[in-house]
Amino acid sequence: MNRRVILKSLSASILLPSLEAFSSPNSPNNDIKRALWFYLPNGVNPYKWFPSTVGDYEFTPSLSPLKNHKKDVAVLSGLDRIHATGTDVHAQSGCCWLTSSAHHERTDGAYPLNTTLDHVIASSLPRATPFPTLAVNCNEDPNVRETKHFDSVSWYGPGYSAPNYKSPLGLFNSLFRSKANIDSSILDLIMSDAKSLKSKVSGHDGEKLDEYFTSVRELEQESLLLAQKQQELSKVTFPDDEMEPVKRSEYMRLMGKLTVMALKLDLTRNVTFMAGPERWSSPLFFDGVFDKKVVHHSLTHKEDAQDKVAEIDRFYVQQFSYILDELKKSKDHQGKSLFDSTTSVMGSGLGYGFDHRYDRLAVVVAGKNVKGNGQHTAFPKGTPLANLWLNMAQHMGVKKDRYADSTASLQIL
Amino acid sequence: MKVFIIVAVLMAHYSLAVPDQEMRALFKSYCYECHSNKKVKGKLNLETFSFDKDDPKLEDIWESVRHEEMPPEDEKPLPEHDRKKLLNYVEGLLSQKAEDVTPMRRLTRYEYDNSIRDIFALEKNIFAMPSRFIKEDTKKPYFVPKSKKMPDKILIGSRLTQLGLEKPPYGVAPLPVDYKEENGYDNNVEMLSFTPKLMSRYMDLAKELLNNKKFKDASPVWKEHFVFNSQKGDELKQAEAFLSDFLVKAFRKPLSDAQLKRYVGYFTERHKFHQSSYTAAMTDVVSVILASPDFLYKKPNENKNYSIASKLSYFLWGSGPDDRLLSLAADGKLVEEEVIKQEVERMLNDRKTKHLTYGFAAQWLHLGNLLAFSPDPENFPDYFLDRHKQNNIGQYLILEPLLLFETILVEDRSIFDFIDNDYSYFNNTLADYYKIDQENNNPDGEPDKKIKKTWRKVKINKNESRMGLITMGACLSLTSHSKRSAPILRGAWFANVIYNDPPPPPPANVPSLDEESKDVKGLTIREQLRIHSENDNCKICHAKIDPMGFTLESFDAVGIWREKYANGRDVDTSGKIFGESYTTLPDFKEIMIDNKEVFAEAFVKHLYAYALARSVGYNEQDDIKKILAASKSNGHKMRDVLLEIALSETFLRQ
Repeated sequence: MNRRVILKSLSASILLPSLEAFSSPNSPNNDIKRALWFYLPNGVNPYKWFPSTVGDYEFTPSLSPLKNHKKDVAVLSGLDRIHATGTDVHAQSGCCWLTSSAHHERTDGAYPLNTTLDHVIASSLPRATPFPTLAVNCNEDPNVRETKHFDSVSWYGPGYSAPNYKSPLGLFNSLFRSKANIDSSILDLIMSDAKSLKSKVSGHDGEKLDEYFTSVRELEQESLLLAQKQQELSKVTFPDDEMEPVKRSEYMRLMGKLTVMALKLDLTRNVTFMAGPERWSSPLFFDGVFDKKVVHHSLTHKEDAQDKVAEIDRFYVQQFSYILDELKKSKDHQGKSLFDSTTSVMGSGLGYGFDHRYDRLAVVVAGKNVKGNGQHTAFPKGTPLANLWLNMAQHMGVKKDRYADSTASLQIL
Repeated sequence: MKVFIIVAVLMAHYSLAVPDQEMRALFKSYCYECHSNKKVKGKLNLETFSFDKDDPKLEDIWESVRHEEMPPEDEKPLPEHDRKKLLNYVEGLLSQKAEDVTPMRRLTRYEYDNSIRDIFALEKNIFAMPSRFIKEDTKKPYFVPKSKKMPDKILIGSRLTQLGLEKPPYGVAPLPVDYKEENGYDNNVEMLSFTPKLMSRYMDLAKELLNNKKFKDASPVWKEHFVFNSQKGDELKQAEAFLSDFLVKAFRKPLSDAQLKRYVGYFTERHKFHQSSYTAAMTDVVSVILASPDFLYKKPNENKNYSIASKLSYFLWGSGPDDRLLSLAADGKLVEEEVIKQEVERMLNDRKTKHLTYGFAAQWLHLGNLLAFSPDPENFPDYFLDRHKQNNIGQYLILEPLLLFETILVEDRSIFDFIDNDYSYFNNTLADYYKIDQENNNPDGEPDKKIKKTWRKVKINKNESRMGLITMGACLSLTSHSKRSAPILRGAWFANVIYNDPPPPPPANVPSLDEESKDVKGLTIREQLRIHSENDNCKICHAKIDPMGFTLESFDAVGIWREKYANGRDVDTSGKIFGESYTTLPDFKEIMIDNKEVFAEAFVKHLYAYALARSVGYNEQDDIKKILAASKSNGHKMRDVLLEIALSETFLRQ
């Protein structure tokens, strides 16, 4: 358990093949757009988060790790989600953060949960990458303490959550060491079985079986597209040690680094990155904040722990800032700045964890030419968060004039 | 003609859905006070409510009126004939709901594990999973259901001490954990998704397993059929003979010629054209079989007999049907009630029925939540077993309710033993923790070599303040906060687990109790909570869950008896349940036992949801009534309940 994994050498040991190997002169993708959603669990402490002035602002304690990126980030306030009753506040804040259903639509039990923005964007555009979207989740706990609704912000559709990568090694292997062993004769066999089954079922059973079809098709595409890059991918290396980072900051940075690598090698263009699952109640070691493991969710409900909660917020903002650093350092397979092509959003699904408020969500947008960069913009109270999602979808090239309960595009991208 | 029928159906539906004058008047007198345009409590406005049969609120209305939770006690009472009228109306709407069928779903990782174990005739499971909490001595197993008796002394370990340390017997890492439904089981169809990542894992896993040396050595099926034996005719014949048998076992359905041909064709292709060895080609074919939806999904009813075989085996064993069930299915016998009865009896005598301990009991009781419980060592030093706080009593606490479940299952005892038992299993450490008399624990003073592994059945004084599962340390601790007991969470656990009546999730915008704020210091937890739940909107739910939680305040956060709080104030256990007031825990227990049929119904409903792998509600109430009626005369013995579920219409229905 106490085995300490050395991460110092990481940047040296993830050796990238030269960029030329990836650039393809005939590539039609001249203006690639990418998106990253960084999710903050359990809300934030708004009193240490939002700047007290609009326009130019003084950094608050929680946002201060973004100082170096000030000109490239837009701090937003006033964005809102409406809680649909009959579901858990925590679960809904996570699973419905990016949902394409309006709050009054009950699509998954009582949840207004539908295909999430990352999947909406990926499936609306021509497939260009092995992974249409990638769901990374910094949930270190191997136990399942809550339902899936607490543990993913990325959903194929109602009730159907995308697989979340939680271990660095698992993520590394899936991205760079896929065995790509799906040959067509295997597919013929299992698809014949599946089709024969499909002819005998209907309704809900059919939907369940569709998940099988989707999975096989996805895996096939994934392995085909990965196979094309096999040679390059095999050059990417990772320390042989079984990854078991002890400090949460190291673990999250490693996940961040691998995520940026996936974007850099054009393995995906959409990433959801959960800083942690909702509620969950596993004790975590926030190094630099506490000297022992604490339960984030429990602290959010203690009046006299709110300063500590803000320090956890700050801890997460540090990791987001680290991802921005990495994006800025990297060029994509076409040699273009990865940061310039990526819109990154950091945000929470609860406004204030202490009292489960749903309004006044924490939102920070980072990217090139974002309207409001360098400033704190306060939107009118009750502006739907979905307005930002609509704006993002349009920015990414999806033709849509409504998203979930959007009223208009936020027009910052 | 068709159009006309549709219109007529729509109209009939419409006219039924909208409450008539009389109904409106009833709502107005008894409900509008809190559920109308002028006041909307619990987010229900009866003036604008859709009365749509599929709106989940409709079932809530039915439940709360049926259980006389609405109107609440301090409001104008609803006369009995009006209650009947209201129920008739709501039930009329609900009865139009489409009947749910037991859905197609993928196997859970437990079921995958068990199924692989059985089709390859392995002795051990392929996954080492700490969530199979009891570590049994496989050479001298204590769990022998056909003996109908649990030994008085058993040797077991706890897997919670081995967390992550146990080596996988055949080198393969377990599949990822399945999500558990909040108030249900990991086999719930809504929780079991299929993803590309999982698909890729299934494909790799099968290959890893079939190439693992320990697996090959341990599997008689591998030794017999994955190696070419020239005495059995030519290679193709041998392969075909094996596959025609193996496919039926793996797919749990009759094999079509076309399907067999496809798989035999694939074997030929690998073997002849790709020049793989017999073993390599067979490995390729079987790893594809194990990635087919026919293996990975528990399928709907293509064939009634085979479907019953699977339903019974996944319900009682968490695994696929064995040879006998498959041959009865092939003979078309499994539709006969007598045959099902015999098979259930036989299956419950098989050790495979142990899966109910983890698939059902541990999840029913939310025992997994105990893993998240880390009490403050300063407040609860006794919870820890060593100076370094690495080991704690949780590893033993968690076994106690499971052993009670197994005793009830193996010895075919009444399900009322869950709430009123006079026996339990302890090892010395646990007996010390509970301060149970050692002499009683080991009357002969027999010295034990393996002192921590030795568990004995101990007689408990029924008059003590013990109520089966409810007062076991595991169940009391898993809802606690690190520094104090949490009566609300305990109450919610109680309402959910014991009475199968979970409270709705708490609303948004309500801060939870802040036990460390200055204003509440010196108050008892009950006084603090009274402040918290004074809010009108919160009162109703809290009236339902709080009494049970407060009554259990006699036990501290780690399940130890107390009469006073740390601040010196007395514990107040009084409350009201089933309309009767009580002051002490024994009084409470007496009222519970007077109303034990309520528990029986709740328990059967839990088990039924597990058997059907989905949530149950209005549509299943007739089945549940029948199951209860059939098992009542013998006091709801466990095996009777299991049998009646297996025979119930919804469980068996096509």
